[in-house]
Amino acid sequence: MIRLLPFVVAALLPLVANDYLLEIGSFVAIQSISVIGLGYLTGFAGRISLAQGGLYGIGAYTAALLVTGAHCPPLLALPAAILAAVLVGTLLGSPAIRLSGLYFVMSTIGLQQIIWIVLMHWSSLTNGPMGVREIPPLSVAGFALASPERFYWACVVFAAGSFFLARRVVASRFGLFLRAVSDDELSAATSGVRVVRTKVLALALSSAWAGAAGFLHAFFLRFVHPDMFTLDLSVVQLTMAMFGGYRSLDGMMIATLILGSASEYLRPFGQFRLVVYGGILLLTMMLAPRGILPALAGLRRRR
Amino acid sequence: MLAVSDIRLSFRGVRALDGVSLTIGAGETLGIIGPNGSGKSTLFNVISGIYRPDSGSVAFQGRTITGADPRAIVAAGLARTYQNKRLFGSLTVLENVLVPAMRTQPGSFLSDIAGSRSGRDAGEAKAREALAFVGLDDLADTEAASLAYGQQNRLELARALACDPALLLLDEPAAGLSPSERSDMRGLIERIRDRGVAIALVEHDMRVVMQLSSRLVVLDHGVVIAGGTPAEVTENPEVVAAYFGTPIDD
Repeated sequence: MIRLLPFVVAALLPLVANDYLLEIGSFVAIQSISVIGLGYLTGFAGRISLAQGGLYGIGAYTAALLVTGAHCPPLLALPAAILAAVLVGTLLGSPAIRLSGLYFVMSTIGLQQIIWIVLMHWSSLTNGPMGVREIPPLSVAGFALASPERFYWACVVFAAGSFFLARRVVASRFGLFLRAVSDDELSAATSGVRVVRTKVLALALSSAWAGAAGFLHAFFLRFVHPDMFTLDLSVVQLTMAMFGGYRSLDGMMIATLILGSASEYLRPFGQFRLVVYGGILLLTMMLAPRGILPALAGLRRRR
Repeated sequence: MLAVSDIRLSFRGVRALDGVSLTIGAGETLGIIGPNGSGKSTLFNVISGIYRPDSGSVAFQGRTITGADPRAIVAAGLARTYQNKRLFGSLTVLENVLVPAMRTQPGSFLSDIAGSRSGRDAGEAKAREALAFVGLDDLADTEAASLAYGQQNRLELARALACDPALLLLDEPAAGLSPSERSDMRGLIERIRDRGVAIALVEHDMRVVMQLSSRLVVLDHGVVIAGGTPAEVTENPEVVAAYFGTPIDD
């Protein structure tokens, strides 16, 4: 039943929350999309990526530039944001996806840094360190979702849609092949699986989810800046994906809820907030290396 | 059906295969024996496309497959098992067999996403059939990593069968099995043979090899030192020397 927790919280939050809490709710919903996408790589393909924050930034910048510069209707910027993230992620990531373990992680850190440098220094396109300002509110067919509550619901709908689509992806033959490849590439190949194609598709899907989340991010603060999409963000999203657990979409949703809203409930700890946050992570990795949900299931079984 | 000619392969100067040639006819069971390190598994890796030989060629059903992509070789009808049990450990028993079984099913990733079940259902039916054949249908939902050793051997076999092979390469299917499991495994291989599937069998258990193979090939130090019927091979002095050494003359 714990897997329903994010949905219950999402449905009830507007009843009790003020605008500030709704903004945190929107933030958590947006993060969950990117985290689920990262989960294709961390949970299902057995590859750890530290470029997700950068690809998320590509989605955010594509949306921001299209709606401010080209006055593109926001929803039309969504496929563009997804496509841009997929192109960057797949073109720059697929030479690296053949690498294993640490070598792949290193190359994703490189990709992350390249994206930040381009956003920061290609000023004629991205407006460089000035960022992109005055992004209009998200609107659907002329109906503006300007209030925190309306935007919150838009984020929840997107997050739920991404979650259920991801469940289909994971249950598809591709999901099966991906888990087989991550267990044993050689016997996957001799069982007829297109190993490289499967891994590249995982990369593309993971980038697509990052792009969609980045799209929403552009309309969240209605301002984007390269420093929002640094390695820090990639680390945070990776933490959420790992904390949520191995091959568990439910776990990733719960982890995003717990860690994404930490800034709020850790408020009593004041300046020691990050210390407590770090402590939580450390304890999880030691006590539940496969993530929170399998650990909870294990506790229940032991009783 | 399979023609391996003059395969040579060296690893850092060590000659693993030094001009190996052999053929397998349709429906034939060829036993490949030889001491440890004689090149049997290496030969399998060359045939199944994992290693590219330095020279020589492999032809399967008239087509050259030397160094081809392993996936293309499976698609041509050549499947294998692994001596060191390369199962998909985190997948269930059923899923292990479903991976090859989905290869030939209708539909695609996108139709799966759209919710079509037809390909999946057909694949599962085929996978369950292969599991029932090897007697693992009761364990379909068990994680493969938690299977007992003998069950892992049978799952390897089921996974290879789900590739619809015309030729099956079996790498020590009876290794590590108890005597009763061995005779079960022998029975399974016999039934596969009786379906008309050609088999190349690498095996150390001589009883199993002798009973199943119509012909034997003996490898030693990457060279074929003898070939013929089981009876001929066991009387060949070179084979005896390869296994037991040469007698000391006074």
